[in-house]
Amino acid sequence: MTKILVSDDSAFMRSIITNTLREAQYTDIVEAEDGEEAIALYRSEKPDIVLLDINMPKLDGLSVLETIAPEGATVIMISAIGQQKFIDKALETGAKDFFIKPYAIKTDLVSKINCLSNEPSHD
Amino acid sequence: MDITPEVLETAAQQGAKGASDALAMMTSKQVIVSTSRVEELSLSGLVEVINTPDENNIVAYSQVLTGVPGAALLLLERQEGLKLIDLLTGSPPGTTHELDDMGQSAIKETLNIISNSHINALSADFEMDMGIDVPNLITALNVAEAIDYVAEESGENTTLYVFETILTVEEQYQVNVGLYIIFNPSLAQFIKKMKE
Repeated sequence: MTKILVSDDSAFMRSIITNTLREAQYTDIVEAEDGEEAIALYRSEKPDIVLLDINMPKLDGLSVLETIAPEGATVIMISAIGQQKFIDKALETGAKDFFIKPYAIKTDLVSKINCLSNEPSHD
Repeated sequence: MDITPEVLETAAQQGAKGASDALAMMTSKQVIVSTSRVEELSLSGLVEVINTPDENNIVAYSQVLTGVPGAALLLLERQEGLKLIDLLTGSPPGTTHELDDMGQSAIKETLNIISNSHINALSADFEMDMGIDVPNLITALNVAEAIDYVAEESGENTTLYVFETILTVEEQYQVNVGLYIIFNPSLAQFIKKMKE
């Protein structure tokens, strides 16, 4: 079972993402609402995949990425910030992909998670 | 690139299109850009444009943190806000009657996504880093306070660059969303102080 950490300060976005993941049979989900909680949950829960917003309280997503990528985290960035500099920095730091909000969660994001997951296709 | 009215207008058009596309994708509905313009306004002109709503209305805000100091505001009449929540949550029109935590989060995320479409366009056109803070909700009263603060700090005669985008969601929801990105250091300072 693939465990996914959804890190976004927006309860609304977390709700949309987790509902979509559950529909795609990804039911082992933990949620963080700020950057510090994301790091703590990554270390305690050891998720297989981390979905990480950039604009979060306490610690931004790029700082979280810099902390957990060297620890082996598989990270997909999700942000409304679409400036190339941030995308390049995230990918250079180790993010596997970068989705600009809003995006097609049901197709693009789940497809990417399917690719990164060790499990068979969840289509 | 120099900041000229023509370049600002280009960024405003790009931002408005991005905001429209973003809201359309969020809601799976057709979204029309009713108004898209950039203007250099006096404080009194700004009050006329944002038409300071009453205390029951909904104002989401975010500070522009880097690049050019300022603030992004999403202004909604209360009923428009409730309709927007219905739309975003996929509920039939008239379902939402109260602005609960999830509804507030939905409105803040709407501001985050559609204001970033403008910020991304401005950043690309001016080749400068720009970023906005985590969104929050305030009341209309705070908007009036903000304008008073800017007048005190910058003077009554100060002018502000204002990006105005009015988005209309068609079909049965008929929601009007007003997004304003206002560049002014004193306004950015007010927003920062309010958050603290």
